[in-house]
Amino acid sequence: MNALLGRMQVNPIALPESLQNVPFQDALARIHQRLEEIPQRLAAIDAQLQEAAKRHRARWLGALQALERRLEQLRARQRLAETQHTFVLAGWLPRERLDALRQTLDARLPGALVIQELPPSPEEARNAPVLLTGNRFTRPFHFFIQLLALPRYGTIDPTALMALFMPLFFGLMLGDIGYGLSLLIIVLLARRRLAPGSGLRDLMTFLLIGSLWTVVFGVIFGEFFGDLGRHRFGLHPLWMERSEPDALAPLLLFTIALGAMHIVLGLLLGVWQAWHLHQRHELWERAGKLVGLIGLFLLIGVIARQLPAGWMTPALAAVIVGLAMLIYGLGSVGALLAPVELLGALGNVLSYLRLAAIGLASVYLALVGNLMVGKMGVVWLGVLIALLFHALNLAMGAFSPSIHALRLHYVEFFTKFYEEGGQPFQPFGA
Amino acid sequence: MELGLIAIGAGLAVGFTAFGTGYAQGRIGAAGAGAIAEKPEVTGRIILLVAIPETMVILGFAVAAMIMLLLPGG
Repeated sequence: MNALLGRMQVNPIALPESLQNVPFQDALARIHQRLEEIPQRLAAIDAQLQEAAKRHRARWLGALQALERRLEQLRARQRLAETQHTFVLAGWLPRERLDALRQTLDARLPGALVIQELPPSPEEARNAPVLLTGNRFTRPFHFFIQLLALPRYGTIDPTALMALFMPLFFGLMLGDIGYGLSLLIIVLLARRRLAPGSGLRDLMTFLLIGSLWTVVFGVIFGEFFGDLGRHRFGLHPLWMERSEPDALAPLLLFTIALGAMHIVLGLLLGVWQAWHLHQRHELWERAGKLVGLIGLFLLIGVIARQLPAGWMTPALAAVIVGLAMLIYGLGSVGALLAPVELLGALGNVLSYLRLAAIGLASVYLALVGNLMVGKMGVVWLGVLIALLFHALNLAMGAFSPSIHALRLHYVEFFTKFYEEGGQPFQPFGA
Repeated sequence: MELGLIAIGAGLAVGFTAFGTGYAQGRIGAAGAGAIAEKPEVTGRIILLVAIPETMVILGFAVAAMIMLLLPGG
């Protein structure tokens, strides 16, 4: 018997104590009865818990906040240097708030305090806490910076560039007037319900700007729910239709060019930052990558016969000079690492091909969706399936291009200049 | 015949790279789900990590595109 149970992979369960000596049918009936009673008991207990919580919630929250504030004060006191009659406190403050602090403290405790501004030493400045500033266009993108890591004090804050390029890449990938407008409506409706300052709302703001760029690129590519615009409304693209076979090469070249521009921008920022912070090795490394990359572009141009053959010598010279600068910047193992780093930079440029690839995937999916309408015998079934395809494409199209636009920034753009390790500025008593 | 073989080549290019990407992202996703279960605030970074191997299939697509575009010369 046990062998049979084992083969069937059935676990024998023993009946509870109270039902051991009861005939099986009665036991079954009682178990069913308990199964119905128990969820009701649980619901009743849950309701009691909720009610108890509602009664005491306000008091508990108030007590919690008061205790947290007291804890913060006690922790701050640990950092004071105090004697019986006086104390010294050192802290960080954004310089523009210094006057307000002075005025507030003078109003509360006139003549009791001396406030002195101490300029930080270079080592202190590198580890200073970081407060990201921005206007209402860039503030939503602080969410993405905080997702990764804050920049160190004194290094470049790329939020403004991110605010420009990320929605642009998103729009380039999705590139459809119909999807753009649908996304715009959905995001506007969703934004109303979200509290300002929450991460989700920042994401919605990014999708809002992204959907506007999507409409722009939809006009450029002449796409309205795939080729529905072309068939029904005679929509013409400003540049080219992405679904045509001879649109593939221009699109790939365009995205590589966009990638090259973005990477070169990143390297220029990196060189400027390294020069500003007196970082010699990074400076040579990034300048070497820049020169080497430009040399590689010229070389590819000559090989592809886009440039006259006379450019071959300057191209090779640029590559060799770039490698030399890289070797100098990288130090002891430079000779081995330099070609790898240069090819890595080229690989980063090629990574921008995903702007074309993901866009084409979305276009072809929309195309298939539209074809479904004709292939089904019944019209309304075809329309229903087409709507499902487009809904799926919109859902994927909201998610995948944003992830890849973000990834392009983090992995390809930021590694050219970004320095992580910034500590967030957490003001006392906020 | 030529065109058929070219098409099969392009399909294999995307197919194999997609397999590699799927395998890699599957492993990362499983580990990521475990990490999120223990510490929900790393969700954003885990999603980013899952998206990183996508490069393989995109380069596979690029190769397939090059095969389809550049080979039919005859």
